Amino acid sequence: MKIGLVSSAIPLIQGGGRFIVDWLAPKLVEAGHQVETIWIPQIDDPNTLFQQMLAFRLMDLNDSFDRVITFRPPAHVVQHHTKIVWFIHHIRQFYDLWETDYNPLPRTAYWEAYRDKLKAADTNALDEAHKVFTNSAIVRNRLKAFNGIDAEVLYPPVLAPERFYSEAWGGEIALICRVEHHKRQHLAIEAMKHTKTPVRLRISGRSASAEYADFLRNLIAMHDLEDRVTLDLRWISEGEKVSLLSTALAAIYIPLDEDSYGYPTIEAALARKMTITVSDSGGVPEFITDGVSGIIAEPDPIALADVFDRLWTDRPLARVLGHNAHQRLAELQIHWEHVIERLTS
Amino acid sequence: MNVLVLTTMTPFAYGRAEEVTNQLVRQMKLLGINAEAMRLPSKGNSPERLLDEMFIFKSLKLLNVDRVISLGFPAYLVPFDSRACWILSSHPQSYDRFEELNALGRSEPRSRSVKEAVIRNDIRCFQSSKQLFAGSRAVQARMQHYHGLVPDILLPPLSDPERFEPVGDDGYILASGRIEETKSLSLLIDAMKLLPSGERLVIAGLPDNAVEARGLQEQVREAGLEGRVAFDMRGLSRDGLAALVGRARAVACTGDDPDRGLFMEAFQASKPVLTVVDTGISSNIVLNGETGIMTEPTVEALARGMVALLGSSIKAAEMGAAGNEKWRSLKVNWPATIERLLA
Repeated sequence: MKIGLVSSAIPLIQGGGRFIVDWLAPKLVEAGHQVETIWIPQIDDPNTLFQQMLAFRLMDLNDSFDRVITFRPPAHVVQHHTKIVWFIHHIRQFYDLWETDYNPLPRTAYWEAYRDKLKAADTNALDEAHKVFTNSAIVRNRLKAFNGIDAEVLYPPVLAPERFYSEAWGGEIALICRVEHHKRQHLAIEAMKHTKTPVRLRISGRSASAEYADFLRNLIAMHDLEDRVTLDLRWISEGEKVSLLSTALAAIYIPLDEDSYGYPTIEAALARKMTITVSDSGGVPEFITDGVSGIIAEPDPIALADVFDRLWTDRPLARVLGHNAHQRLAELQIHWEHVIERLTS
Repeated sequence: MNVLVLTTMTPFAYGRAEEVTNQLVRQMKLLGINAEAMRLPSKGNSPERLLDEMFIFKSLKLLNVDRVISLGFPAYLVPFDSRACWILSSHPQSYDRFEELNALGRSEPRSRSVKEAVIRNDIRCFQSSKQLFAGSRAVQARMQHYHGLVPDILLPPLSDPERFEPVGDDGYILASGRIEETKSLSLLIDAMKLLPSGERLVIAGLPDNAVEARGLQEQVREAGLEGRVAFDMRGLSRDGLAALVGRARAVACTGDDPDRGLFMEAFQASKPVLTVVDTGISSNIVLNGETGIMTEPTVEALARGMVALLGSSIKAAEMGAAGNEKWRSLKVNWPATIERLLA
């Protein structure tokens, strides 16, 4: 089958929205399909959003592909006779973040009407899809609530899961993701201040903001944590990541209100490492059942420090929860065979 | 610096344009520049569709980009302040089609207005570009004709110059079979009939059109040239091609679009080039009798040129060395090309 993968993107930025497409493409090829990926540049500018959406909608894809799979918005508005939407999030400022500080627009009649039109356009585009999937239950629930669309949750696996392995449950907690304020690396560092064991923390990831990176450096220095917190501000290689996780005590992933469980959680589970998260992390608890396949703490340094110490002193607990996290992958069918089967049926 | 390369795609087609796009991005990364290519689907078959496509590309917005390099219509219409247009091939569907209609006396007002809209947008876009280059003489000539602009020519360089070395001289003339029209190859085969027996021609590469390729083989059989004209129609690897170029006496680049063919490989490997009087880039380098042979595209003239090249191994090697020197002075390499695009 000739399959087109269509998504929007900000040029030269890597991240989950890119990975879901880039990792799927070779798997579809392996399954015997012909695949072409189309990235369309896009910006979340309310003043030009509708014009951009119209451009997406006018693209002529019908004769080129037997099936089109769309990802990041507004790719779902493209037209195709067999359109599969794997919906990863709304343009959230007009949806669940409308009433929050993340939405800088005034709540005037103009923008209220604008929001209604956007919702109508999204609903229309989703209605005409052959099938709608979401990457998490949270997003599925939002689609239901805002657009009245029934979608199936299809959890995205990671690249080459077979690479991950477990060597030991060591003394270091791994925080591997982009270094950004809403990923809350600072919260993990603050927790380290309150720990009473020699537990260590390793933060790996690239930072787009020099300011936040400096803030983290200062935080570590201020609390005298240089000997126990490693701040490695690089996009580490896949090999390094596999190696780090193989001997980690556990992983930690504490974003603020994320749309899905996050790839770091899955990568840790593949290495039989449990993930520590917090109750306001959004989609992460979809994967983690507290005390069974991971730990969900309050978003508070002292509560997190307590979890760090508990795991350091009770390695068997880290091991059991790590194994359970690995089992959870199968429970939620987070593997490529399932994804390919659903997307091509 | 973040550089976005914008170009169009026909799904599942891979050709020279895709090769150049990939090389451009790869070579920029080698220079430490953050680069990515985005290829947007485009199908400008009908005049009405052309207007839609222009609207699509004019409506897209860019963020996190310092420079844009656009490689063709309508990708160059994506608005951006700091943009280089490197027109590798013009878009005949939006010009020639209307010319054809005109020639047939069927010029519709609607089509004419579409053509005018296309050209108007082109001109506005080219004039607002920071850099404007044509990928070949043919493109430059077309831009002069339709837009009244004469951009510098910037050739897409070889991606693998290190492969092409003069490794010997097995006394044959090499011609590329990977060209769209077979007329020039047919002329070369006819010219072979006029050459003393013993002289050889090798036609290498996967032809674009299998029927025409069979026609050429048939022509060789009928002329009784089987032992002297060899076809290598495998999809030759670059290494395989480099071996053929490296051991040739000379390379023939006599097709209609002289900026295609193997002339860069030939100059790189210090081989003299046989070319025809034309407007191509190779004619800038081929000084008749010094770096190669330039001739009329007739059977007799081609035969005379081939005799001249095949007559003396020493003379051919001298011409090849001179051509190589001239070629190097033109600096058709990726770092120099990228520097000009981002200037």
